Amino acid sequence: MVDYAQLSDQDVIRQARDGRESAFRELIRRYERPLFSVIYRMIRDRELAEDLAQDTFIKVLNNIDKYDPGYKFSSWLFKIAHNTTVDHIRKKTPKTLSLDGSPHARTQEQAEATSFTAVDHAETPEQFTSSREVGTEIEAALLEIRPEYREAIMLWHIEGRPYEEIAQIMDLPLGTVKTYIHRGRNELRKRLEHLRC
Amino acid sequence: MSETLNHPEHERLQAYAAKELDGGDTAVIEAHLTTCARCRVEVEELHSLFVMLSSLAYHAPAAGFADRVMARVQVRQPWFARAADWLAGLAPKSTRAWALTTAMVALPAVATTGLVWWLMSRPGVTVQGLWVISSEFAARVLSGAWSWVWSYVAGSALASWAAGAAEVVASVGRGGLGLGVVMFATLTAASVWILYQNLFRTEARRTDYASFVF
Ligand SMILES: [Zn+2]
Repeated sequence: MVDYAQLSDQDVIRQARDGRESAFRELIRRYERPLFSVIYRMIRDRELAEDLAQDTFIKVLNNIDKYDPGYKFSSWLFKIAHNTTVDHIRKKTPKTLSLDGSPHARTQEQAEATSFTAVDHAETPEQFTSSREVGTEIEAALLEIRPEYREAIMLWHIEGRPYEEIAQIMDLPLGTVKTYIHRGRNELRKRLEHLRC
Repeated sequence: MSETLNHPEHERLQAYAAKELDGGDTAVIEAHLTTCARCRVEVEELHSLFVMLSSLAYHAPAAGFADRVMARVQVRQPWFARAADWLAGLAPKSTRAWALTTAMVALPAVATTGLVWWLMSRPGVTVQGLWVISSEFAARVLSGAWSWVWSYVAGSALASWAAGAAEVVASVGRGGLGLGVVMFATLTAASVWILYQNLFRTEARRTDYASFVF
């Protein structure tokens, strides 16, 4: 029995490539929560988030022999999760809706209203946080900002990814990622202003 | 100093809060913060925002997530991994199994050594004589269904190679042959000793004894 806790991702992947099921399970154990959390906070639908997280792992693990070790594994995983989620939203939502909001939206508010969260059964920020034991203000505020900002903020602040990696995951220019994070923080800070006494 | 003059941009205050600025830029911001309450509040808010974000808990998927994933993942074993597993499966798992494996190796060696020793000690027995007798015996045994195989082998380079080997042994003489037999017997004795250690002195046995056998 291999003690996986001592092994790096690269070593576990080598074991997985040798066809060891326990190595596959170790990769799932390491990343199921971070990955599910990012997807869940993006689409606010638990069941759907679980399906998409599942699809992501299935894609990644079935293609483990195509994985390029020059690339960080977790980065690859988050990129597939991003693509899977975006693909799903593009397929599921009417043509006029897109990740960046409806092309017909005239104002920022309209674009926000039509963007990304237009998913069946999406939980409202209140439902989302009240369904957790500790509903936090920050959780609710995070769900209220634009999804692009939200994703970039989560990857930077929660997952601790550098800007370059976030740019790869979200398939955006570096400058755009920095702008998203900067604007996202500004919005969050304003939304949480009332917490200060 | 006026507070409204030269507030750093939000972006720079964020970079300061995220500790992304170099020493010079940090000093400039810090100098401004000592005089500007508005920017000080903004930096404090950023700091508490950073803390709140980094302490956000993960959501967990429903139980059995890994099983549902693995049900749709094909675990393919490359041939070399399969071969390694197969070989590992062949290796004895217990001391007793190791002992039996050792016995299977050691006993034929003991028997063969004994037989050769006994034969060589008979008067008038030579290596060539043994070769002739054993090959005639083998020819007779194999002459049934396998006779065509044997005739093919006997007429080939293999037979002449074996005869050559026998000649070498003969030229080395009894002394050389004896040395070979002694070496073979020593190895056999070592196997028997390990066998004995494993089978009978089980209390004193060391688990790594078995690994000396092969
Ligand atoms: Zn200022």
